[in-house]
Amino acid sequence: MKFILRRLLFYLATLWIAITLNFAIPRLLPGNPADIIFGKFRGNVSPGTLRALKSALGFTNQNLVGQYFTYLWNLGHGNFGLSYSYFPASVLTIIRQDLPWTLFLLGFSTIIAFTFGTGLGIISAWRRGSVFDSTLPPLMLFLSSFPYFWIALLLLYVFSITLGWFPNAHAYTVLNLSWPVIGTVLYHSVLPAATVVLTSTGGWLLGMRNVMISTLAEDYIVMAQAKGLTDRRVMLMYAARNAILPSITGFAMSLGFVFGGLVLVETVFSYPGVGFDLVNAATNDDFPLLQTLLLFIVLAVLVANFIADITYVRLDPRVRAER
Amino acid sequence: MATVSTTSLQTADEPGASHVPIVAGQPHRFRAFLATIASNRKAAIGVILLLIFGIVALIGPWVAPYDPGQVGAAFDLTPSWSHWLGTNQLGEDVFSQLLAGARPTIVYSVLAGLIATVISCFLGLTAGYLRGLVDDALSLVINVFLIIPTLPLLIVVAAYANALNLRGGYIQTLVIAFTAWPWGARVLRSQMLSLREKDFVLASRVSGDSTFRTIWDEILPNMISLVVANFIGATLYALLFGVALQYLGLTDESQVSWGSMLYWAENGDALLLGMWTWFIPVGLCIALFGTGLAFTNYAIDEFTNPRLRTQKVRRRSGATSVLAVATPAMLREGDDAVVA
Amino acid sequence: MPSLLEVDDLVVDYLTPNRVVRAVDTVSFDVRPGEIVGLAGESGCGKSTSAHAILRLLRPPAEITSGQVLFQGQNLLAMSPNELRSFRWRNISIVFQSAMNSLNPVISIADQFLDTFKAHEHVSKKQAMDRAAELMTLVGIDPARLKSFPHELSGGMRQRVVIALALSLSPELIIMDEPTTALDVVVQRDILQEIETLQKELKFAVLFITHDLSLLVEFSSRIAIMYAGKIVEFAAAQELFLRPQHPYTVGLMESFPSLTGPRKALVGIPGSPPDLGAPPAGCRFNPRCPRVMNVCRSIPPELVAHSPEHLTACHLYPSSLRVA
Repeated sequence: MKFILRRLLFYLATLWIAITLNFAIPRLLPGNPADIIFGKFRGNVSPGTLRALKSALGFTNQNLVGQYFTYLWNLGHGNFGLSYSYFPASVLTIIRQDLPWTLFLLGFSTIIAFTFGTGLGIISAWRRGSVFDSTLPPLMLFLSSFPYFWIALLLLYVFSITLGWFPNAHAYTVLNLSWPVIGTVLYHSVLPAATVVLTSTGGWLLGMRNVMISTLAEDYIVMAQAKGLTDRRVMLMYAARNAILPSITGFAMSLGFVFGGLVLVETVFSYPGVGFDLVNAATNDDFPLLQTLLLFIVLAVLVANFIADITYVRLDPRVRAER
Repeated sequence: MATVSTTSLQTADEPGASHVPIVAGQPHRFRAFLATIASNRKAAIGVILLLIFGIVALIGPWVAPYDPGQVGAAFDLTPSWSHWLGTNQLGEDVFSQLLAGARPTIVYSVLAGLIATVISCFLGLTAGYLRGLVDDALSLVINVFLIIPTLPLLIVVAAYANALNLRGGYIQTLVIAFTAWPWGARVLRSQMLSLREKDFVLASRVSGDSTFRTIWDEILPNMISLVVANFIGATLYALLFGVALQYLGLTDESQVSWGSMLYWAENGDALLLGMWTWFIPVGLCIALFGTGLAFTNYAIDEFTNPRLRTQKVRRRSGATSVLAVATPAMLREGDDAVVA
Repeated sequence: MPSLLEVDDLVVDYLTPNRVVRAVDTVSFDVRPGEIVGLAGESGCGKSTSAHAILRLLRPPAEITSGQVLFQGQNLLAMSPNELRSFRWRNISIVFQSAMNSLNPVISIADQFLDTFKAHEHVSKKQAMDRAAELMTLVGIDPARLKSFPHELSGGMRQRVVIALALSLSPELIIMDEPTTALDVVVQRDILQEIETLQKELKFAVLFITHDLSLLVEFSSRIAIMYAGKIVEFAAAQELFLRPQHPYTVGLMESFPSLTGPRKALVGIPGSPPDLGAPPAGCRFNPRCPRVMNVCRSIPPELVAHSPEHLTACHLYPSSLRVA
């Protein structure tokens, strides 16, 4: 499918640009990039380790091109250097440990928000002008104006600290793979997930609602009603089925935004995901970790986008036919 | 069968139909816009909110009862008549901070929004108008920026900036502006692509107008509302991300702004101490200002896209309007009028 | 012969915020079983609105203000939503102008047939598919195309599919709203012949709406002419062609060139149709009428029969037989 191939190429190009940016930015800043990044390690590591560290990020004695390829080589082998703030843990270890938590939270809350928001959007559009439609969209709009992390703080304050219903930090109490532990994991994820759901559902709702309203004005909807089909069928199979397409595109595009919100939510709840790590790395000037985290976040978003593209192609036969 | 008979019978559209207005002439449109605001509750609320906050931004620091940065021994006070929102852990009056902090927050947001809009106008319109290789290259850049998650990118750039001791609010503004422009550029580019093919534009080019004149006189007037909507969207975006960066402590925390208030609130264990006045009023202000922006934006949106009004309209062709495509900026703001 | 469809004093208003536009003003006509009735008029005269009103497919801001639509004696306007839903398509179906826009773009043609059957009858999937294949063959399309999606078919094929869909429950009446306007001339002819053949074979009645009067003269048994929301003339096709009474109809007839006979200059009708939000007093055609009289400017004429089976709404032809 030409469409999928084109998207894939685009994602690879983006990944390459992100990698190259990572390489280029420290070198573009005024001052000695090596000092900026590795200054903190001095005195804590042996010269040999320091050299290996530098070469992992491409700071060797080679010329620029050579450095670039060394960097790429190391990247390909998963050699991302050591983290300063979690010294002596390697960056890879940290990411491997924390990325799953973020993905779990992201997946869990986004799917709920998307389903909920889209569903409400469909109903809202169908029952346009009703009490439901007049109150819910403006309310959700108002809610989504609050900064993600503020809602997180509020939820934390009300439900955790004041009411004590939920834990106020972290993702788990003890970690092993057993049912009670899975229970605590879910328990800890309620407030963070609720934050994401509360703030992002509004966007889905409004988006879906608007597209639905446009779709409902189409001729094939009138035709469907003329055919004597039930309201439910018209609403779902004719209207929503068409309206969902821009929503999927919107979903993909907003993933970056959702990730941003996730970073903040993890910070508020001290949830041990890559967002939390990112902020800590930034505050502590832990550049090796910082850079690599950004790369992985970009990678995650690209993968999610790709999945969204495939879903879109499956749902829209017109795209499949594109020559 | 004779086909010539059709000529005498083809006339105007069905009664009640209307289309996206491509309006010539500014004054008429402005008056019509005021009419939209007056009749639409949400739009009115939006504009009023913006006016209120605009005023606060202007006079805030002067009407604040205390110097917001003045530390003192009277710390951790609960709300009282002398300190309406109490004091924080350093003894600074929270209410004064709220008033004084409005200005930097709002100014930085608006400034970032302005810069982002200028960039997106320039790049989006160029890409849409010139097409070809220039468009391909610019589109690639736009799409890459759109996909890379903004906040993580901002955090990384801010970290580097801090390492170089570039902590000022204006640096933050620039940084945010550079990540905010892609949304607008994409929308403007689409609109430019479609307008470009319209007859009145082709007529202008054929009659010998320079490229600049064509864009300035024919195309731009039809895009003004879109550009304004973009500006508001970018400002909203800058507001939320600016506050986020301040909250994370990645910018200059010594300057009082709404975001820094949240940073200090967290630092002072506001939650554990139950000092809700440190962060709840601030959050409300941010949300209200944001809502003001969002409502105003969508008043403009509705004004240019009659389909979103409660009165339904049948479209003749299957073409979708640019504004009907859900972009996150508009996912947050797009809505329709409440039944008047 | 009792009428199959009887529209009595139908009034449809568009309720826009600034004013009310009366798109259909006390329109009455009927369709008998198995006959083809044409409804002709300019764009904006209210003919499509009338068609949509019959099946109650109008959307806000349009609203049926008053009148009756009787189908075999049943008043459609009084039906409950459930009754209406089961009534639609089974008794009256409709073919819209743009087939591309009438078909759901994301589901296959087969599914669009199955939808219809499932909504009205209890048939197995196989039976439904068989019937769908029959219908496709009937309109001249290879049944293998059932698997296709609307965008994969040509314009003419799509229109045939829509016609096949309209026939799927063997309705007594099919309303065709400008079914060929969006097609090129060659395909137009094909489709019209197709419709004619099918009609002769299956004997359904047709309400054929168009702005192209020339199509109707060959095709229909009776023709109603609409102007500015009102029916101005209603007669048998031959009769209308040979002895048009209303000056508007006369004007329309004079604007066709004739293949035989002496050459003459084509005459249009000067002026343009009125704003339906503020129509002229009296007869709506009076500003453009070459035979206008004083009474025309104040009293609207009623649709009456000056001669049997030929109704006209014009002061030049006061009735000798009063028609309700």
